[in-house]
Amino acid sequence: MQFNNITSLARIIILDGIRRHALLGLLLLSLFSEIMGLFFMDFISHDVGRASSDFLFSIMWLAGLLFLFFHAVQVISWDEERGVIYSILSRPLSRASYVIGVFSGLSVLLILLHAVLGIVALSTLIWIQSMLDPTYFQTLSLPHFLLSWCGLVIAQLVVLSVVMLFSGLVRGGFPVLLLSVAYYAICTALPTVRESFYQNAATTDTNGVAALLLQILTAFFPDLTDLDYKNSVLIETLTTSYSNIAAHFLITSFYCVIMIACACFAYNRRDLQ
Amino acid sequence: MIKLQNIHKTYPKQLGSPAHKALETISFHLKKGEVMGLIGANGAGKSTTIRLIMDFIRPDQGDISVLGHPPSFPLIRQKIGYLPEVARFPQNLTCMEMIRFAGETCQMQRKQIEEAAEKWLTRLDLWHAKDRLLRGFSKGMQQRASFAMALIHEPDLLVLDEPMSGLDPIGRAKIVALILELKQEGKSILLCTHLLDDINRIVDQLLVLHQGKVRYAGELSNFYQEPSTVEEAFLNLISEEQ
Repeated sequence: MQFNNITSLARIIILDGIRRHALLGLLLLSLFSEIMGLFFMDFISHDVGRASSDFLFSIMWLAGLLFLFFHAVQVISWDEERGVIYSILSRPLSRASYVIGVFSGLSVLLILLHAVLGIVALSTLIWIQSMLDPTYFQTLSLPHFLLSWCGLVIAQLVVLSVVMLFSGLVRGGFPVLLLSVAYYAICTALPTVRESFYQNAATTDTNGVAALLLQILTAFFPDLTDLDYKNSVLIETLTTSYSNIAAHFLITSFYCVIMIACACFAYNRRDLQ
Repeated sequence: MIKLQNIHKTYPKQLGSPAHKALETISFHLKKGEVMGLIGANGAGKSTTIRLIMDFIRPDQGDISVLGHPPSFPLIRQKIGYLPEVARFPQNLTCMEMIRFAGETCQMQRKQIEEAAEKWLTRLDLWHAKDRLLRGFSKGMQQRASFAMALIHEPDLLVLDEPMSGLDPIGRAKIVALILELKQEGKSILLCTHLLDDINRIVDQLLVLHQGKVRYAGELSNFYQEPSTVEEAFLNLISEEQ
């Protein structure tokens, strides 16, 4: 029964989202930017394929982040600030179902956004490839493009699950936005810090506490670059093994589940004033 | 239907505001088929009581039982119709989509939802606007849409928080008539209001809250004696306390 309720809640989140002018604007702007990739390649003298692919995936990544920080955060926090949550939770929905329903609805919207942008990005890449001499753009692998797309989506679902958790822990849209941006910044910066630390450790004495701290931090702030396969779009053979890729996807999915479980727990304990 | 025993609720200290004791030793019992009016001045604890019953907030102390279960048990809300003080919806949905959501969460079939929606939206003068986005609704229309959502699943218990809020005199008269009809049907109703004119037409039992404490709980007929009014009796009671 709660599954049906989750589906119903997810559906209204999706319907509300696809009619939001800001979201439609974001989609149109991202599509326009992707199509501009066709002109962008004119300014590149070497490695046009890689530059175009990087450009298109960056547009998708940026559009996803704007969706997460400005749509998802608002939907979740405004629900509470504007009192929508009272209308929803007065129905036979548990708070955990509410969290899962909102997460599911926003996930579907995020996937839809990336599906549209992904199709246009792929079409743009195929078009660019067809216009160029094979010397400049030799390979475009569809399976690897799909893998990169999935990696991008699942990395952003991690951020969404963390947004859900912060919304359960603190009140108000702005604090949730700040925490989510800080979380994302740490996730992005931590691999660089770790790499720098291990490079130093190779030449000097290793600080055990710092190494342990970095490992613990990585458990809380996962390395999202592990899911970045955009460099593989232009090569025939993957440099990473399939088992390694599967492990990254599984660990990240598990992380998402844990974050959502924590969000359910946080929502279940708090007063909705 | 609703039983509160020795409820205490204090809102914790927050940045810029001290801890606030909202309710202190609140006890009352709403029986099946009764209509209870919950009245009090602003800040008396009416909304806190309603939020506790709907499980939006949790008590610090005491027991709450709604339809024989703790309020956190979600399935009891299949039998509760709740009308919030200010109706808020996701703004880009139509009235019918929100009603459909309300019906689906109560396990109603699509056909049942359509029939019930036609009945209640027609009754509340919203049938013509059923496919309009809620963001284009006036405050009164949103309140009536919220009422339709509360009634769509034919609940046994109605928790109405300021049902006349935002309504014009015609809308208000219609809602009063509707509440009276629901009372005739044997529904149990907890009606929170500060419009005391309507109280003596609707309620059997009265609960007066002031500064988080129960000042009167009992039959409405024992609360005041004609030619005095409910409003005068309420003001006398509060001024005695102060």
